[in-house]
Amino acid sequence: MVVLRLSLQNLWGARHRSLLLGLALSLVAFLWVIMLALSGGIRASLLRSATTLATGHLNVSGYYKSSAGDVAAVLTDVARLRRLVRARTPGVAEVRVRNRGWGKVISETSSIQTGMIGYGDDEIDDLLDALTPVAEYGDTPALIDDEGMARLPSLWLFADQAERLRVEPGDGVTLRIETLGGQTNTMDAIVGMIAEDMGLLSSFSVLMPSSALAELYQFAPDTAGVLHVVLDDIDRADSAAAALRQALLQGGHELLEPSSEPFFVRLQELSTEAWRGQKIDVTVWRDEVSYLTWILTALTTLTALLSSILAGLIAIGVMNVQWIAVRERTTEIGTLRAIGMSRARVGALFVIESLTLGFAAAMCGAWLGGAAAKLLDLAEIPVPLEALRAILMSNTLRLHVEASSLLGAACLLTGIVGLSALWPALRAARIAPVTAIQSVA
Amino acid sequence: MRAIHMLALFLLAALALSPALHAGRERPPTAREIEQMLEALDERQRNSGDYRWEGMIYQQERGKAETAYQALVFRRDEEDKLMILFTAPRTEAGKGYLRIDQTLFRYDPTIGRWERTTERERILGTNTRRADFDESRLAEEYAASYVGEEALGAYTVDHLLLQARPASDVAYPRVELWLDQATGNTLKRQDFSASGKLLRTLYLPTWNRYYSESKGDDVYVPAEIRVYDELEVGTYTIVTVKNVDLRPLPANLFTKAWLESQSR
Repeated sequence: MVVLRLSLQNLWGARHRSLLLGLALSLVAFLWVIMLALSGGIRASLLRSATTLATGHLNVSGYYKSSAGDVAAVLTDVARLRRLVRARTPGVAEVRVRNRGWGKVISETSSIQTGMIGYGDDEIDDLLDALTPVAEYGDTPALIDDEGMARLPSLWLFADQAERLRVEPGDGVTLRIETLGGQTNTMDAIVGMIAEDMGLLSSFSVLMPSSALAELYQFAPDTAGVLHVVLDDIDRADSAAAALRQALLQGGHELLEPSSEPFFVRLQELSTEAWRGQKIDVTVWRDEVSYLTWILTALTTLTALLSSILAGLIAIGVMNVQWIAVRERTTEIGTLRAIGMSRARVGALFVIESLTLGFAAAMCGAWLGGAAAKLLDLAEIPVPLEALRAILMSNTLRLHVEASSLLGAACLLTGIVGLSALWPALRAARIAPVTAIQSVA
Repeated sequence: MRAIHMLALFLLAALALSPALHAGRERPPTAREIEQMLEALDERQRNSGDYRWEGMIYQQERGKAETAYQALVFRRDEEDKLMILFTAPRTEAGKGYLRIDQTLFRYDPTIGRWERTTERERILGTNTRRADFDESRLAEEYAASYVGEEALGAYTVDHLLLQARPASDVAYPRVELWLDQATGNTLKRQDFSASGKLLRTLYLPTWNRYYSESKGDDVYVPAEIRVYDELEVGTYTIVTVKNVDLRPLPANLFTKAWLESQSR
């Protein structure tokens, strides 16, 4: 307690220096938290767009080979498989049946090549929650429910695609795909909704009723592309996947070896394999968007690099300040040693001073960084550059930071400050009392 | 000139300009009359037998050179069959479209491939659609309402608004027609998307009449169809129709095999 009180008194005594150092530490903590929040925002955006468009928390994909040289990404006996998945997957919240395709969307003026996602009727409400209709076309999605056009499937596009196609809700388009048998098939559709972009994934995804996509591909009944499994806790995806693989094997299904590749890469690999029939693959969401997680990896690496540089600068700064403090307080040190304070306590005095200042400044900076991240996130600042939008996975700047990350950043910075003060503290502790007193003379 | 002569002239002029002397409707047509107008329009263009005509299709795209195609169009209205066979230029010769059982197929002899396509297909990339060449089924496919009586150049026309019926497979869910009051033929047509966006404007300025023995009546055929793209302004297609022949066609003509044989 004496040492702590002395530390606080010393900090107050050199309050200008303490304030400057504290500001620097707060700024570093602030920047760390902002960088963490940016990574967190990208991860959250990636997760949101991926689980809306491309993947569930788990995926049960089917691959069917009628001969050694071909392969189709189809799942047969879907109803029975869905019941098994629902019954035997731990922590399952929902099992969605989806169809997947690839083809052209042709408008009056242009066309785009895009992935096609077929959603079930039971998913519409969840999708409407996840997607944000472009404000220009009204607050509510312009779902085509006009009796006159109810016969045509409603196609949901994203803003960038709509701009390229020069369409708006209510316009007609033609969908053209190549069936698994190699024939070209077409179908007219109506643009039902245009939603805000969701990053790179939405650039090559359009949504339509699963039944329409199945008709386009001429799928047999009880055939689909994939089952998307939604869990109560996404962090349990790996263990749930392992349990599901076991259950499927016990159910008599043939499984592929686990792989971290997305399904379209798997499809190409499997086309060269010699087996025939149906095999099933169980993947987690990370596998299906592995071609995008490089963005997170790159940002994490960059964050680590910048943080290291900042930490190094902080360490040098703190060390320098403490050296100055030791020189300035040589007399005080001598006095303390002369009246019986041990070397350890003298050393602890300097370390505790640094830790106290470091913790207070880091917490302050981290808290401000967290608040700034929250405000920036709420402001929904538009991202002007298309390339940046693709990387950030969002049209607006998204920042997301957990309270644990704030505390972690503050503690880490405090630790760095404490370690930086260690050497000057050791040197201070080694000063002999007579040396210290003589320095006054 | 005496005042009495001036007055007489004035009265004559007033009478001449009086609406009572001009052709026109005394009242807007009823719903049934509108339906009958469309039915008459369809019937006028329908032939109970076969139908063949030769035509030129000129396509002008904004900023590009004009392209011209020669085509033969065959129809068997009783069986809802249509075939379009392109005969020139050499690069397009042998390509065609065949409509069987509500399905439209496109054939490309270069790759020997048939592709199923939809009502929205641009015929050989032009601004025309299948319905522009096929039998008129407006009464069956659309529900009409009367907009008003208008002047279109020197013609007095009835302006109708057509909305696609729920079960119809049409390229344009909303159509506006301007029908010549004197003949009942379409002079102008505008095609809209479901959102109300104007997509095309068609002009059919001249109609020819041919006697059909199988029908026992005349069949009206547009001599020219001018299609203007309203999205890509400056892009248009002109179809000229000639050598109309209403005699029976070979029984096996409306088959994939026949179309394929034309390119061998």
